[in-house]
Amino acid sequence: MNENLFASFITPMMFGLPLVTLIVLFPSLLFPTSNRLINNRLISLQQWMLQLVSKQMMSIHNTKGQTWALMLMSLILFIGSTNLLGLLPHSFTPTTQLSMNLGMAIPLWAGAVITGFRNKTKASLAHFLPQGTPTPLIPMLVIIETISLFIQPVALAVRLTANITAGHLLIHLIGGATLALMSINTTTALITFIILILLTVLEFAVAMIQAYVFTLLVSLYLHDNT
Amino acid sequence: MDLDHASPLCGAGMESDCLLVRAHREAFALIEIMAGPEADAQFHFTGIKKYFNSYTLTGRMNCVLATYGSIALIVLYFKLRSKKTPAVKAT
Repeated sequence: MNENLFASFITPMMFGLPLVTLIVLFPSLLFPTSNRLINNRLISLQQWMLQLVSKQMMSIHNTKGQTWALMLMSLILFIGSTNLLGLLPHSFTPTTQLSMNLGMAIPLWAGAVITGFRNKTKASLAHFLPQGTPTPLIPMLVIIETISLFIQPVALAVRLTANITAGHLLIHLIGGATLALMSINTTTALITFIILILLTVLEFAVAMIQAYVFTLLVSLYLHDNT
Repeated sequence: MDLDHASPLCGAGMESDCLLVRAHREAFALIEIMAGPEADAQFHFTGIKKYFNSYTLTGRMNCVLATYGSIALIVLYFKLRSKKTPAVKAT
């Protein structure tokens, strides 16, 4: 069991060809498009959920910020569906790869920051110094705020990677422990199995929450810059 | 910003979410009111503080640019100094 602990995080290959592209594109099959006015139950439910999320998330933005609605809704759908699909046994979760999460976080953050610098240069520069800072602390705070700005995309990516990876690892470990304990002590194995069920329920919640947090933070960075 | 237009959650029996959404929007509204050109008019600085302070938008921007400029000058000074002084002194 120990040597296979990180096997689920290795990018899958078949006949020497990477399957990652197919895995990343797969969630889009679960969201069918329709050109009908009144859709079937699945599409109606998806549209209702999307409308709920987009209304809540985009209501704080002005006209300029709301042009990002499609991007943000695609982001939350993609991360949420990828995370949830990753909870299926023996599946590969693309969001456990830091490279992928950095690939999502950096362009979105950079887009928001560059938009801010282009449209509101004065306010964007003034943002590096909190209002009311005592004079002796000004240089230090400017440096700290600059560092905190550049840390934002890294934090976004690492947060998602660490949360999903840690959850998968825990499920793997506790599942292995349950199997190992079955032959030793059935009562302890049963308790461990209950913990495993509770952890799985938690991981379902974490999968959706992390998608929401990622998108909300990108939305927040956009709001600061528009 | 229309804070009265609540999300679909309001009026559907989910009052706690309605309050959460309102609090979220009010916090963003407060941030917008606190910083802005209209808030700069309340400050009356004279002398150098008119251009370098941590209250007005212009003052904060100038402080930030001055900090970056100072760092750039320090880096430039050490780069040029290391080019002038030879690595090993001849004996």
